[in-house]
This record gives sequence, C-alpha cells and structure tokens, in this order.
Amino acid sequence: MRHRGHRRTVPLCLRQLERVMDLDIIAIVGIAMIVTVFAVLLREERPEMALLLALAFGIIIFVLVLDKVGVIIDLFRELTSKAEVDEFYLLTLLKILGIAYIAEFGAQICRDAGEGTIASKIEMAGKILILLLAIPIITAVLEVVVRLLP
Amino acid sequence: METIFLLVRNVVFVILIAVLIEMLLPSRETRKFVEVVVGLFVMITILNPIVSFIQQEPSIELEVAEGNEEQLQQILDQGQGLQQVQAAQAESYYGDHLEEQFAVFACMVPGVEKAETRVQFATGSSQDEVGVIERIDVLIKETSLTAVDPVEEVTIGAESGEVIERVETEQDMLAQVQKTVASLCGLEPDAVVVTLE
Repeated sequence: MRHRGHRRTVPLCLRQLERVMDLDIIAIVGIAMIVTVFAVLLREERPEMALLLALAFGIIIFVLVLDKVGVIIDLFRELTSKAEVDEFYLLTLLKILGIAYIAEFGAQICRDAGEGTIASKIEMAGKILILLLAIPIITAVLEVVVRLLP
Repeated sequence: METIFLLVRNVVFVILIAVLIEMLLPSRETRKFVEVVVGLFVMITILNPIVSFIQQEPSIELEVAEGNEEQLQQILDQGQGLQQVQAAQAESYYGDHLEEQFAVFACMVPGVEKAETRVQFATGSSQDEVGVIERIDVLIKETSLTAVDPVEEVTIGAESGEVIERVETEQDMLAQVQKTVASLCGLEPDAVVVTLE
C-alpha cells in the first residue's frame, strides 16, 4: 500500500508543476495579446507610447520568468559539480548569457523604435563585452594547448 | 580504467551543460559569439584532464604504499634496532664522562689520592628512563691519611661560620666521599657505595 501511495505522489507533483507552467504561459500569452492590441491601436496615434508599452511588457515578462531561471541555474550548478568543472567557467558562461539577452532586448527595442543604428551599436557593445568575459577561458585553452606541445 | 570512466562521465555532463546553454541562447546576432565561448568551455573541460593525465609523473608514493607488509615490518625492526644501538652508545659515552667526573670529585675529599668510579644506569625500555643513574660504585685506590696531618678547622668568610669537616679516620673519609658524590648527582647516599682498596 505504502509503495502504491508513493507512486501516486510523483505524478501529482509533476501535474501540479505542469499546471503552474501552463498558467504561466497562458498569463504571458494573454498579457502579450492585450499589449499587442494596445500597441497596434496606439502606433497610429501615439507611436512613442506604443514603444513604452512594448518596453514595459518586456520588463514584465522578464520579472515573470526570473524565478524560473533560478531553477535552471541550480541545475547548471549541480551538473558542474558532478562534472568536476571549475565553477568559475559556469559563472562566466552565465554572465555571457545574461549580456547576450540584455543586449538583444535593448537592440530589439531600438529596432522597434526605428533606430537601427543604435540597435547595432548595442549589439556591438554586447559582443565586445562577451569577448572580454571570454578572455579567461580563451587563455586557459591556450595554456592547455601550450602544455600539450613538447 | 577509473580515470577513463571519470573522464567520460565528466564529458557527458559538460556536453549536457553546453547543450542546455545553447538552448537558452538568444536567436540573433550575439548567438554566434556565445556559441564560440561555449565551445571553448567544452574544449577546456575535456582537454584539461587529458593533459593532466598525459603529463602525470610516475608516483613513487604509490609504490611505497603498496609495498608488502613484511618488508615494511622488517624496515621498522631495523629502525628500532638502530635506535637501541644509538641509545646504548650514547649511554656508554655519557657514563664514561660521568665516571671521570665523579672520580675527580671523590679525589677532592681530603685524604683521597686516587679513585675509580663505576656508574650503573637504570634499565628500562621507555625513553624517560634512559640515562637515569641507579647506583655509583666508588673505589678508593690510594689514600694519604697517614702522611698528612689532620686538617685543622678552617673558617671561610667572616659571617658564614662554614667549617670544613675534619677527616680523621678512613670511615670519615668514606662517608664524606659518599655524601659528596651523592649530593652531586642528587642521589640517596645509599645509592653510592664507597669501598677502599
């Protein structure tokens, strides 16, 4: 009986988790629909307000997803410790990922506002920062290659 | 075999991390850059253990640790034997010097011309008992009691009133030698045996 009960709890938890995820995605899509309608309506009369609306929507989505990102980072940490890899590399990769997302987000907003030049500048800054953060990893690879050589 | 197993397991985990990170990447311009860095990350995590494995120096400690127990016990026994020999040599050297010193002190007693001493050390296995004097035999070989007049009472200093004891008989002389030698090395007078040849 006890074994059966234990079996029953696992699918329940999974089902609850799935339900929460479904609710989240439904909420996000619902908000996105509303914002899209408002943005379309506003773009004709007040394009600057439409831009602000898109910006606010982006921030809301980011906040909604933020606590889920924590779970993913925990998984990365666990995998890193199991792989016996220095956590410094994982932190660098996560920082790079964050820079990439923020740069994309900013560039997209600028493109929506019709400022393609500014968007490309943001992307360029993002690329430079990513390369800057990757320097320790590149150096480590070079050191290993040098060690391999006789 | 164990190393290869660990290496393969680590590679699997690293590839898993890389794939998950690639799934999270944004789909525009910066994607290529992040992909390159993820590739480098995978490279470094795979290459690092391989290079360490290749350049590993032969471990001498391992061979010693895995040596057979009989050999180790033999080495330990030899070490103990050497320690005992060293302790015996040190005790012998120390005893010779003590005997010389005690003989000199015995000769300082009025009436004693020549003396020989023999020191016996306590026999014990512990380190604390090494060099502990158990008994001192003093053999007085020559005396000058007949040739010398009895020593007169001499006062040292104006206030101390210290008096050198007079040595009149052989018994007095032996008692004084015993007392001097015993007090010199902090022994009971019974532990010092003085005989006259």
